[in-house]
Parts: sequence; C-alpha cells; structure tokens
Amino acid sequence: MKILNLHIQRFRGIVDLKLNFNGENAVIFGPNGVGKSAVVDAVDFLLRGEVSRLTGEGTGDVSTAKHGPHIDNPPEKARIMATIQSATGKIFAVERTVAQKDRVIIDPAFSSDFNDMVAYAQSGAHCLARRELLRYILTTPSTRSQQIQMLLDIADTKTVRDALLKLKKTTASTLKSIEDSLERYSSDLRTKVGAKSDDQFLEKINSLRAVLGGDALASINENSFINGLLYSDTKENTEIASYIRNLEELEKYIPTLRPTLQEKLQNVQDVVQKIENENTSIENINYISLIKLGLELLDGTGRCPLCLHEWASEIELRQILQERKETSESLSTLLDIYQNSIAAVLKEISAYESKIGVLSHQLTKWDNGCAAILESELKLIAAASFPDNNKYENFSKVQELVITVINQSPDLLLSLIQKQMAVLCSLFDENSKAKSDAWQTLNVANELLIKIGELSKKLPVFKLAAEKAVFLLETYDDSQAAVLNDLFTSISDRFTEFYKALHIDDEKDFSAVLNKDGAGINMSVDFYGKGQFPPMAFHSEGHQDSMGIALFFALMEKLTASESGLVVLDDVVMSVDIEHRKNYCKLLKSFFPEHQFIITTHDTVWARNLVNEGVVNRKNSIQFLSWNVTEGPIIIIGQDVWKTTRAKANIDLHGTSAFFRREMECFFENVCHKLHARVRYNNVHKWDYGQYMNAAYKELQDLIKKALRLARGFNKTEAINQLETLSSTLRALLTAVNAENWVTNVLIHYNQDYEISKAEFLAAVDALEKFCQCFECSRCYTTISALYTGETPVMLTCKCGSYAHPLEK
Amino acid sequence: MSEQTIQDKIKANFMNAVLKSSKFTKDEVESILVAMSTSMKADKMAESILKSIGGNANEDT
Repeated sequence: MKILNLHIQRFRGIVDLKLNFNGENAVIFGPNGVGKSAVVDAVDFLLRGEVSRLTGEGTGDVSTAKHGPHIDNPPEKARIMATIQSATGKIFAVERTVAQKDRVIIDPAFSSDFNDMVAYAQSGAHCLARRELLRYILTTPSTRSQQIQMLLDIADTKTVRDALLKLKKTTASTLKSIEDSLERYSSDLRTKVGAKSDDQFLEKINSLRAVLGGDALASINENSFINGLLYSDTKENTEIASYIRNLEELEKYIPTLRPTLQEKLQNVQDVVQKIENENTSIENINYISLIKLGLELLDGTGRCPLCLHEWASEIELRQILQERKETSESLSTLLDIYQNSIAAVLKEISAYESKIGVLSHQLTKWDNGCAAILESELKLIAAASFPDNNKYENFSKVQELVITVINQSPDLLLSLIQKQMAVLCSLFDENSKAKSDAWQTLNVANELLIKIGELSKKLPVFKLAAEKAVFLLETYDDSQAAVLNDLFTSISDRFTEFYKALHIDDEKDFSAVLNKDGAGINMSVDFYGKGQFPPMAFHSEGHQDSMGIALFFALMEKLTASESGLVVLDDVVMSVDIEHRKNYCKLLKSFFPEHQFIITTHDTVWARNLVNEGVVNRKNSIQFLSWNVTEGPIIIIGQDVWKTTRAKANIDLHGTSAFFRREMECFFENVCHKLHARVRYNNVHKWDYGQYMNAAYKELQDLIKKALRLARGFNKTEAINQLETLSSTLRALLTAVNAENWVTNVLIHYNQDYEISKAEFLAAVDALEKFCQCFECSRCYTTISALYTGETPVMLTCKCGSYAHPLEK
Repeated sequence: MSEQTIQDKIKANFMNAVLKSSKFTKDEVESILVAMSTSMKADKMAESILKSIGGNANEDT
C-alpha cells in the first residue's frame, strides 16, 4: 500500500494540512515542536484507529479519543483522509475521524485491500521510531522476543504455548496427586488393620471379621470387608468405645510428644543460630523469602506472581529469581532448612491438637478431671497456631510456646487419662469393646478400600491425559521450532545483508546469529572478526542504531507478501554519521525500491542527503518551519533552500546569513562528494564553504573539459553544446557569486555591528541560486556526479540520464 | 498478506502431527483446534483443552 495524498484536519496540532506524496518516498523535516510527529500520528491513526504514542504503558489518562483532536476541537472534526494505492494497484479513498475511530469510511469494494494494510499495521511494521530500535537491540532476550513476536504477528503463539504448558503442569499435578493419594490410602489401610505387609492384610481383616462372628474372606478384592456382618450396639456404647479408642491413642502418643518436640525444636534452634551468624537483617531475610515464594508460585504462564506482569519467557523470570536467590545462597539454604524444621515442629503440635480433638467436650459426662486438663492443653497449643507462625521473624514466639509444652510434665495428664479410661471401660464389657473396635476398623478400612478402588479406576484416564498433554506441548514446540528456525535463519541472513550494506566500508565481514532460546530470542553479532558478542557489548551507539534498522527491515520483509509497503521511519538515524547515512540511502534504494518511506527528521542535512542521494524526490521534501496553535505547522514543500532563506531574511538577516552559509557548505560538500573533488587537505579534516565551493567548481570544469574532448572526438553536437553552455555559465556565475558573496562571510554574519541590507543579502542569494543550479540536473534535480572505475573518472552523469557524458574512451 | 501467516503455519504443522497421533480421537482433535482458534487467554484455553482430553480433575475425581 502507498499513500498518494494525505489530508489532515484538526488533528494533533495540525489545523489543515494537505500532503501529496504521489505514492513516493517523502522526508518531513524541521526543528522540534513544529508538528512533524503529528503526520506520523495521522498515518498511524488512519491505519489503526489509534495513535501509538497515546496508548499503552506510561500514557496514563492520555488517549487518542481525548487527545487526538487538535486543541479545543471536537473529535468529529478531527479527521484524516487519504487516497491510497493498494499493493495490487487499486486506488481508493479512506477517511477516519477521531469521533468514530473504530470505523473507516471507504468504498466496500476496497475494504479487503485496506484491511490487509490494517493487519500489517497492527503488528507495528508500518512505523519504526528510534525508541523501538532500542527494543530490538539493547534489550533482554525476552523483551526482544516480545518486540519481534509482535512485529511478526506471532504473539498468539505464546498464548497457545502457555496454555499447553499449563495443561501439562495441571495434568501432571493431578496425576501426582492421585498417585500420592493412592499410596497414602494404601499405607493408611495397612496401618489401620495393623498389617505390616500385603500378605498379612487379609489375615488381619479376617481376624477382625471373626471378632464380629463373620466368615473369612477369600480375597481382599471381595465387595466389602463388612460383607455378611451384623453389628449393633447402643449409641452410648458406640460413643464410649470411640472415646476409649481416642484416649488409648493419646496415652500412647503423649510420652513420645515431648522428646520429639525437644528434638525438632533443637533442629530449628541450630539453624536459627547459623542464620544469626550470617549477620543479616530481617529485611534481607524477608526479601530472600519473597524470592523463594515467588519461585514456588510460578505457574508456567510467565506471569510474575507479585506484580502480575506477563514475561515473554517464564524461563527468564525463573532464572532472574534464581540468580537473586543464589546471590545469598548460604542464607537461602539456611532459610530452606529453617522452613522445613519449623514446619516439622508445627506439624507435631498440630498432630497433638487433632488427637485431643473434641475429647474434652465428649468426656464431660464421665469427667474425672481429664476433660479440664485436655482443655488447658488445647488452649496452650492453640496459641502456636497464629498467622505466619512459620516465618523466621515469629520464631521466638513459637519457641516460647513449644518450650512451655516441653517443660510441662505429662504425668498428671497421663494418670488422668488412665483413670478416665478405667471409668469408661467399666461401663461396658471387654467383648463389646473388642467388637466395637473391630467394626470401626473394618468400616474405616472399607472406606479406604473404596477410595483406592475409585482412584485406581481413574488412574489410567489421568495418566493418559498427562501423556497427551506432554505430547501436545512437545509437538507444539517442535512445530514452532520447525517454522521459526527457518524463519530466524532467513531473518539472520537478511539482517546481516542489510547491516553489511550499511557498514560496507568498516564491517564487510560482519555476521550475526539470531536464534530462539525458549521463549526468548538471543542475538549475537560479530565484532571485527574477534568473535560473536551481544550487540551492546562492543559496538558503538551508531552501529547499534544500524543494527536496529537492519533488523527492523529484515522483520518487516517477512510481513509483506508483496514487495511494496508503506513504512514511516520516525527519526531513526540520529546516531548514524554522514558516510553511513549515504549507505543507508543506498540500502533504501537498492533493497526497497517499491516501498514508500515517509521519513521524519529534525536534521536538515540528513533531509538534504535523502534528496541528493535520490531517495526522496525534491517535491516530496517537506520542511516544517514553525508552528502556532491557530494555524498549526507552517511548511515549505520542495526543500527549497532559496525560498526558506528568503523567508527567513524577512526576520533576521544575520541569523539567515549564518543559516545560508551552512546550507551552502552542505551543498558544496555534497557536490565535492559526488564529483570526487579534491579539496586542499588539512590535518583537522574540516573544510569551509569557500574551500568546498572552489574545489567543486574546479572539479566540474575539469570533468567538463575531459567530457568535451571525447564529445568533440566523436562529434556529438548535442553533448558539446550542453557541456560548453554549462562551462561558460559556471564561469560567468562564479564571477557574480564572488562579487556578491561577501555577505556570507563569517566575519560579517557573526558581527552584529555590521549592517547587511536585505537587498545586498538577497543579491548574494540570487547569484548563488543560479550558480548552484549548474551543479544539478534541471530535469531530475539530482547532483551531477562523476562515476569512477578505480582511480579513473569514466562518466559524468545524473539520475535521469540527461547528463551522460563519457570521460574515458 | 493473503498467504499463510507464520502462526497459521505453526498451527497447521501442529494439528497435522496431532491428527497423525493415535492418542487422540477425532472429537478431541476438533476440540483442540477450536480452543486454539479462539482468542481465549492461556488459562481458559488450557481449561478447555483439559476438558476435551479427559483430564479434568474437578469433574472426574
């Protein structure tokens, strides 16, 4: 797609501006704050219905809807109109207003052509700004990956991969949980019936059944352990039996509690002592704990569990957290040990609490003092169950409570429990108790067996789901690798080619490698044959800018099926020097002849280079001179230094004189470059306007002489006339220039006490305009150039061929 | 722009491999394709695929 013309009304500082690009490259230049970027915004808005600069991170309350219209204008009056030429050559009009920014006004017959361009623009490939260059080059693999994925329109592949990764984790975790439950239930089942092995299991079940008068089961796979059993007792008896069982369990447990707690507390105290020896602050301990928690909470989606920022690569986020954790590895290890050991202490307390359970309430009816002491035990240990009791900072509180438990003698409690059991046992006979125990054990065992059966049945389903999830993720990674590896190889090759074109003089053997590493994209570049390094390692800022441009072009190419496309380059060559800018021009001309580039810059020299090098036609050189709120930007179309100078002369003659001298210096420097003119050497490598002009004049006259000699030899009348006229005009105009040129002398224009009249200044401008025209083709406006073969000039030429004079036989 | 996008190429490669695998039924393959073709977030997409491949613990356990 190309823009033939663009009409911007009441939008982003522009009141009413018409630009006729005619589908060709254009340069928009001028100082800061004159409305250049508003043109970039207008193109962006026309294509996407949004202005990139007004959306996204850091824009706060600013929005296209509110801040798109020029100040004090309603959104319906802020509109962009354009005549577009599609890649297939169709021409149509498009219009979009800020009031209805999601809708374009277009002949439906062309909607599909325009939508292709919109899709291309949604990825950001229509515009490159300098801030984006940095995101390609001076960045982490994940940020680069995000930027590249967005540009290549493959950001959704991350969503799919994240989904499949999550699927794999979920199915694996469900499977593990089922397997763990199966193992736990099986172990609980053996413990419950008192079987040390599977062999003993059936025997134990049958002996329990025998207590209840039941037949022996032939196998544990029979329907139920309580099959054919009849057991009934009064509610009270059932309750009493249950209380006795609980008291028996407590009686066995209490003697082991204190030594176990003592041992486990000692482990914590040892590790706390080691942490204290590290001499660190509680803040640092909390920080490391947070990092460790963050690592535990990573769920495979790449989302930071703390700030919810989505990383392109969870691997990278994990790596960063891991690195931070490892910087305090010994402390981190000690904190791990602390966590495990304090958890063991708290688990023991919790086990004790659950064993006491609600016994104190249940025993009230037959209480002999046991309920009250159990209640006080509960109160004591419940104090340890406060929020964050496992945190390092809360250790002293937990330690104090545990020591209180340890120091309290269990003797009284144990004797009361025994007495309580005696009271309860006297309430019914031993046989009843044995039957109740057997019935309870068989029922619990039966429940466990049912659970085991259900889980065993489902296990293969979950196993298969987990296998499928692994297969899906691996297959997706393989599919992605197959497509992206080829893609990245071709991008690397093209990037290298573009970069070499930009740095043909100093890095002709450059090479680069771009590869996908997990969800990130690594980039390494050759540094003068010394090896592959990250781009920011040794290369200068200018070289890095070149890499950004080269990579953008390499990526952009992958998005356009056709060879034509619109690209806005928003001030992207700031750090590139003059020689490399010329290579940049060659790159645009030779690799992208069918693209339309709209280039903005605040550098007038660069704008002139683009015209002189033939990238931009002079009539598409648009200078933004100034801006005011009522009129918007004041512009000059056609990069006319003469018009600009004359307009400026009305305001400040001395300033304009300096400006004009600088313009002429640039002009003749470029002529010298084109003609390979010999400027008298100096060791500071700095030449002024006069030196450039004289060298350019002499060189052109010498080349004309050579060309004339050949033209006369072949009797080429037309060429002879053209060359003789040019030579004599040059000679005559040089005399006029020399007569008027004193006003551009530095001693004059830097001297405020010296009066220059406007007439005197304009006379010099007139003389120089005519003189300068001699160095350009009057048809294509490009500078007349000398083509060289080695050290020999072979042709005097211009872009359109109006000048094509051989200099050698 | 009318040619197959990079995403489409990856998806096509992937679906071909899934189709060739004996692990999945026709219905499962269709459900996976539908889930991948929507603009769901990763969490929801994972949930949807999980349902179709029979690993949904909430429903089955």
